[in-house]
Amino acid sequence: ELFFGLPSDLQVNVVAYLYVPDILNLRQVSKTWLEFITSNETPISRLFLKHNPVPCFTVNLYPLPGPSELDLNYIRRLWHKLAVTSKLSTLLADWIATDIFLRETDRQKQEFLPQRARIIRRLIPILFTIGHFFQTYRHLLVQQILDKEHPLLPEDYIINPIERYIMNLYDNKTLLQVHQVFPVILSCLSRRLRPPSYFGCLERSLHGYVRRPLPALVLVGLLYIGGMEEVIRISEIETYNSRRAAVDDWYSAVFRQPIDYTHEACRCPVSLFQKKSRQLPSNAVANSSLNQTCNGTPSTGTSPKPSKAFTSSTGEPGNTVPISGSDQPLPPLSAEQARSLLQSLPALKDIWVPTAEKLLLARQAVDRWQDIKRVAQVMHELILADFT
Amino acid sequence: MAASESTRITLVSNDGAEVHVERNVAERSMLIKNMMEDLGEAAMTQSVPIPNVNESVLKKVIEWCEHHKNDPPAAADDDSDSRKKTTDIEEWDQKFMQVDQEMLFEIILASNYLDIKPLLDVGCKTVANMIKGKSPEEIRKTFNITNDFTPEEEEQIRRENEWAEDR
Repeated sequence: ELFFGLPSDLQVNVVAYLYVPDILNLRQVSKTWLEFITSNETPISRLFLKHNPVPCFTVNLYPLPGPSELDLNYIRRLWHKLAVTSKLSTLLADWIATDIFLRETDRQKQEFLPQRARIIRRLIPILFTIGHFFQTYRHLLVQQILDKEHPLLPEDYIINPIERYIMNLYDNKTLLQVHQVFPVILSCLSRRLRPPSYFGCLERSLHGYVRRPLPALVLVGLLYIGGMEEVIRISEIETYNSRRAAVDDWYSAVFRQPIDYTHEACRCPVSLFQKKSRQLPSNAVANSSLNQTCNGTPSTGTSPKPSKAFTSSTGEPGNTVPISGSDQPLPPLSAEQARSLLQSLPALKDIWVPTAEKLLLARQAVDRWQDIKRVAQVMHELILADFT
Repeated sequence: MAASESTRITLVSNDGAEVHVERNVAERSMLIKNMMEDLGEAAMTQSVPIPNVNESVLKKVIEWCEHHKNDPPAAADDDSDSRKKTTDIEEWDQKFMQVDQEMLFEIILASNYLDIKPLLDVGCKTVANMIKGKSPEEIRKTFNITNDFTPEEEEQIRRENEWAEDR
């Protein structure tokens, strides 16, 4: 074969010009190719990063491994995260354009395009950090649960220790920037999952918005456990009713029980939930993979995709999103573990904001509480041409 | 153009063909450039053997050098690499590279041997573009590769690749 007649540094050179999915595809072409890619991961990755320099906010949060340990896994995780982040930035920019700046007609949208592009560009580092925040939070919490430590419940602390730990990874500027945009992002997301608020009872039933409003706890679970991928998948669904149905499906796939609408029940100890719920066949499949690790090669050829147990959606086969960018492999959670995780998560209104506010003052990132910019100003700055 | 720049030199391919070429064109090749500096005046009178490249490939490479003889010299290696992060190829080069695969790989090998970095980059990018966006089956077709995986093995790799494909 002609390609393998080239000196090996040229072979590496060619492959490093490709994008991540292409490089992965090459592994599937033939044994020679698989062998070549596998044994040259480090030089390919190094050259790839030279051709495609990554923004520094990404390597700040996910530090580059040492030059000799750099591999395609690192690259593909990072690229995956960047792809997810830019998708979410685009979605959010569109909602911000219509919901906040009220650009509704095609013409108005057309004229708003430069501002929209600026919003997207400025949101990317912020959303990347938020993705890191939720992912790390879940990771630390899951670790606690797996170590059989009793995770702290929201009523046990004043400053959320996990949030404080993660936020200490961010510098003052990042923390402040994310903090100022965080409420907007959260409200944009939760808005997608609630029926239009100006609808009265009659309109609601005319539109068939008969499902009960989503408990905040479910949204919290979606953010932490489903991760950015799941949030995007559900947000992209066209109509409110189908989005709501998708949330129900996601919830029952992860927790093996329907959404509970009574607030008290959500906070009950795990043991109360242990009555056997009816399991769908695909859940049984997911169950069998619980003992496998995410990255380990399953020993049998018939084993299901290991990551499915965490985020599989029974509703739409083929549309499942794998475990959200898990950086270190984590074993998938059982429904019971997922439920105990959900219990330890903060309430929707307590995510990020209280801890960040205290930290910003303690670290003197801002002098006074009033110096934290208000939403209107932040939104204005998102679209300004010369604001960096 | 100054007289000294248009001095012609003679290259000899590995199949014995003499190729006459302007010195400044040939010096797009760092190998030839260094040789000329080493040989000094002697290079003007005697022919320069290029033992690794045959006539048709050598002529093709010279054609490229001819077209690019007035290109500004490449900036420091690292800088130019990170700026040209995509596999964009300028139009003339794309046309130039529309050759059969055997010739394409010969050009890459020759530009590597002759040390013509920009041509080498164009060559590598051309091969990369032949792979980009294709399914494994299409890649096999393009390069005439036989699939030697069992269906189970292929399925296994496909599954490993799967989540990264979601973009």
